[in-house]
Amino acid sequence: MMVVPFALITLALGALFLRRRRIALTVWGLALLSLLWLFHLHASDPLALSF
Amino acid sequence: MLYRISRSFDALGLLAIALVLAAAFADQLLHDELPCPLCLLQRVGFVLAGFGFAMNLVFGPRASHYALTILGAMAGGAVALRQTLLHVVPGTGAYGDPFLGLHFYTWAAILFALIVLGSALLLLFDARLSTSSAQPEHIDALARTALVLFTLMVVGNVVSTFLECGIGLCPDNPTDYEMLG
Repeated sequence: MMVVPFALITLALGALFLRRRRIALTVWGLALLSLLWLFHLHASDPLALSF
Repeated sequence: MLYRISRSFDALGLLAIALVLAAAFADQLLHDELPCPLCLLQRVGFVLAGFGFAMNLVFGPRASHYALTILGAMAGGAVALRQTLLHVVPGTGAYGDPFLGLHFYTWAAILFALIVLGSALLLLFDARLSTSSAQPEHIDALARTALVLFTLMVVGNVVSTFLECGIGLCPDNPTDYEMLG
């Protein structure tokens, strides 16, 4: 799943080079959402800190 | 004149982000240090931020493109700050070797702050934003170099992350490439 945001940005770059601005913006938004979701998964993990 | 200068700044910003990603790659390959999940998410933040500059270079400068850069840098900065806070307490260890006295995640937090600051400064000169034409932008050598290097870094990260983690989540402390083992 960690590869998803990179894969989405690659697709967005493809749209960028084909000059499809709306598609590039949409796929960029999906990449941002996937980053936030993966960050949430990591942040909600119990921390293995031992004080 | 102002339009050309700002385009150069956009290209330099994209080039700088591509070089940051290249440096992370060099550390990964030369020192055999696999990026942790939070490190990968910070790379995503740099890629998301760089995409706004790439949009400026291809479609011309727009405030919405700088918004992409700022949002990407803020998301990446949140990840970098979390990793910094995880290791800020003495005795909780660190991830990776320091570079110029700071760990990569601390450098990342600083760089994300600088990206937000730089984008805000470029937005101050907004007269050029309304002059961007509907015609395809001319992409000069500097912009082309930045776009090619940035694209190579993004594709390289797709391959590297897939080899390291497969299609699942990465372990917290990765030791080898899952797909090569």
